[in-house]
Amino acid sequence: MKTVLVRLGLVLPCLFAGLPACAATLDVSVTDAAGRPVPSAVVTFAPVSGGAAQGRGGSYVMAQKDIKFVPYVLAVPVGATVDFPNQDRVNHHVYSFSPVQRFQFPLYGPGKKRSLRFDHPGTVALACNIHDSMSAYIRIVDQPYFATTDDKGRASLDLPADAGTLAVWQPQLDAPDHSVSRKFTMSAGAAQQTFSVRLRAEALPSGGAY
Amino acid sequence: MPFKRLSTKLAVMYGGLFSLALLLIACACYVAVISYARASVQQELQANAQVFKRIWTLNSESLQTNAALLSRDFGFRQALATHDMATVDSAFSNLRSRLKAQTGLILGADGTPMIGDLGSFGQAAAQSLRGDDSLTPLSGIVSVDGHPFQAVAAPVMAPDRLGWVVFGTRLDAAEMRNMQTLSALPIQAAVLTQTRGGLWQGPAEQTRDFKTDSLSFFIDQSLLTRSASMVDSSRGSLIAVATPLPALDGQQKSVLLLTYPLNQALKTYRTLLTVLLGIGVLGLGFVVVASLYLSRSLVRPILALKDAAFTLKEGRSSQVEVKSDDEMADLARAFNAMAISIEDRERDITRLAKTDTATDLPNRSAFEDYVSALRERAHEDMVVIAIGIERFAHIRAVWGVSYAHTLVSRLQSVLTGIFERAYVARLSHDTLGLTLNGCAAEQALPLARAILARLSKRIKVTDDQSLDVGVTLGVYHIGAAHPTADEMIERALIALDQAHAAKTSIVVFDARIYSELADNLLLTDQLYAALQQKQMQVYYQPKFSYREGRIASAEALVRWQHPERGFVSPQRFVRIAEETGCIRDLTLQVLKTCLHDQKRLLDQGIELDISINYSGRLLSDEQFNAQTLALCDQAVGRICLEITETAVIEDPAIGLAAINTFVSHGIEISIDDFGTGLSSLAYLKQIPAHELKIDRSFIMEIESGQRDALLVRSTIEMAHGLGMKVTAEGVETGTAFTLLQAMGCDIAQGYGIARPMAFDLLVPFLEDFARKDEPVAGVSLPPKLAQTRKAAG
Repeated sequence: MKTVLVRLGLVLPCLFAGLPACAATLDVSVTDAAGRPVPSAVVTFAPVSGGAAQGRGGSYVMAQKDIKFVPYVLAVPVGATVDFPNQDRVNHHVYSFSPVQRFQFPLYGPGKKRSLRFDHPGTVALACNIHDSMSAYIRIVDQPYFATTDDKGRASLDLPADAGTLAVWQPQLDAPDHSVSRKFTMSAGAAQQTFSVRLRAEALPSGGAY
Repeated sequence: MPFKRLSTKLAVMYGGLFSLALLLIACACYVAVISYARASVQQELQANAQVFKRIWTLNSESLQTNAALLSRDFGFRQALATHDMATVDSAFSNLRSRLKAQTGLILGADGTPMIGDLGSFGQAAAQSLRGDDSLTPLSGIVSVDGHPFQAVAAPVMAPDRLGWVVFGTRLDAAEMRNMQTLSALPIQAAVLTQTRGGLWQGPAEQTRDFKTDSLSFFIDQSLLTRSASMVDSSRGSLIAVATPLPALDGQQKSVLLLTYPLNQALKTYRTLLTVLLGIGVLGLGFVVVASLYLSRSLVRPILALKDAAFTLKEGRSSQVEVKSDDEMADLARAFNAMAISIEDRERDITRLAKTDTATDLPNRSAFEDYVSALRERAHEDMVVIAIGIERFAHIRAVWGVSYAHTLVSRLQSVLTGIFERAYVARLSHDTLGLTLNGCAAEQALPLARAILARLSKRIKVTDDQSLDVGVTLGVYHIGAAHPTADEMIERALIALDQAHAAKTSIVVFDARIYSELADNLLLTDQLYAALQQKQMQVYYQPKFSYREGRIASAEALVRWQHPERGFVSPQRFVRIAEETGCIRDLTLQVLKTCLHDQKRLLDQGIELDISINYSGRLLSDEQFNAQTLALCDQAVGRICLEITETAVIEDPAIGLAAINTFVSHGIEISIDDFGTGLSSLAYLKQIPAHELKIDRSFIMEIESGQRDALLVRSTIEMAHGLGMKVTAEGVETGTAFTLLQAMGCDIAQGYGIARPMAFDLLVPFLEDFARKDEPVAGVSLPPKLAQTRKAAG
């Protein structure tokens, strides 16, 4: 049984002045049982008051580079469009059989780019038909707050002082739908949350398990 | 173990020892070969197990590769992702037929069988893979109702796992046989899986030869040691090794069991063993033959020595042939030297034993041998003569010992000079023995005479000295009788003794006399008994006194009437009595009887002097003399002791003293048998005798021989001169009686007067004599004499 500690650090003052409520930054740390940081975990917060995911305005990119998808996990809000630029020296045939959004981009060359809009929340597992070792995940979230852990297993969220559900998803996380969650009330004192999670045997992707 | 023969012992020991060694070597070889065979088969089996494992892995990988190929096929993944089951089924069937896989199925993302074998294999595979997170292909054993399957499972990733592609091959007998063909060895393969109880199970056709318990134990051991070892089965001992196989679920334990019958494993070595056995048998045969030969050749010289030793023991000369140059040869040489020295010594001993060392003549022993051999050789008449050299002691004393020996040698050479065939030996210091065969009985005496004649001549002893030698011969002629050599010689010597005794030159052995001599021993015993039982009788022979004209005295004579023998000659038993010492008892008995009788006579008014014979030998016995004296002192009349001269007076001093004592006690002394024996003038001079008895031999001849008459007359005169009266013995005729009277003889005794008579007859005789013949002085002849002579005749 692997546990993930999620430490939430409450950072004051709020970074985003546009938010109606007084907001603060929460640091979330995800580790595995051995205390190692778990990168590529998508941390979401769904306040009780609701609210849809907001795009950050910028474009979402799932590039192909050195026979790899970069990044490994990309979290996007519902309705976001993701670019799939080929920054590699070879052709790729990107596809997904995930029921959330089945698609394929037949072979396209270096420098070319494909784009797709994801309208339903869920996980889309990406693979390349000609490079079995390539795999990546696009996590389409409908929560208003989300972030992805870095190599140190840390992610920062600017949250309103509100009660809600704090959840962590990771492709290898050994839980139903690869996701764990807990009730959480953002307050001034709760600056940090730690998730100790259990990962599957194949462990963290290091350039793709397949 | 007792062996009669050394060669057998050696052969058995050598052969046994070598055979034992050979047997041990054979056993060691056998054990070594077998263990080498086992070891090499074990190694081979282990190597095979590695090969099998490798092949297994290759097979698995090949299957995996193919399964993975399908699992990664884009179209297949798309079909599976989109639940296009018809496409999935067709793609799966296509691959399955291409792979010739026995069975297989597709599992969905949730691990439930979807396509393909949905039966027990599918369920078992789904069970194995349930909960498996693996994203890589798997392979391993799946046990379906105890039947093992080789299975591979490849996850279908896109990139998440959509499901599994599973293929399986039933590991049945045919599959195992396929594997078995890969090995050069006739290895049998079986795959077993472990049940929950820990026992190992496999398809019945692969495990029916084993006992489940022992097989399971063996597999556990083999997995621990990872080496091949022995296991029992109904097919006999097997060499087996168990190699763990991966399980599809990573938990179910499976092994590949490779077995190889020990018999077959050893088959290739059987030829080697047969060859070894052959070599062993040949070697054994060689060892036996070699042992026999060795023992024979070792024992042969020993046997030769043994035979030689036995020959030597039997007294024959014996030498061993020396063939080699080893210790046996040394022994043989030593034996030969010993045999020769023994022979030499024996010759010396024999020579010494058979030779008279002084003269180098054969001795009595040699003579016995010769006589015996001669008798053996020819059973014809032969003669043995004992030749006694007279006065040999005298010759030796006068001329010296060496001269005496030389004389004996000379006599021998003279004898062999006369009789070439004669064998002469020295029987004792003064006796030679001569034997001659082919001599008839009537020739014996002439032969003896011839010898006597020759030896009686002057014998030249040394170059400048000659000697007159007197010899006496004892002759024994052997005819049909078979006496021993010793007896022959003894008889010749007896004859010689008889000749000495008879003072004749030649006596031929007389068997009758010989038997009388032999009888003496018995007679001696009987004499003792007779003395004890007082069988002796005393007879009295009256003595006529010329002066008184009557019977004034009588000589007591002992008579022995033996119950069986009858009358025994006094001459004979008295001599024996003297020799054995019985003479004391005899004399005492006679003396006592005489004293008693004298008293009885006196009671009847008859005075009679009694003469008793008293052996000269007894005179030396002081004690006996005292006894005699004491008895005689009790005498009622006159007692006269007639000193007989059958033996020398041993101690003249004691004897004379005794005589003087007797005389002083009034006992008269008479010299008996004067003229013969040892009487001498010195004797007469010394002994104060009252009476001299002239021996009968002179009296018998008095009528015819002038010389005898003269001697008797002179003796009578001499005796009278010495103050002794004279008794003539053996007066038988009137002429003699008259002549003696004329010569002045005092007393006459003999058959002419009266024979010896018992006491009972003595009194009537005396009364009769006194009545009829009144003593008349000057009577020239008793008228009774003619009468008594008639009675005597």
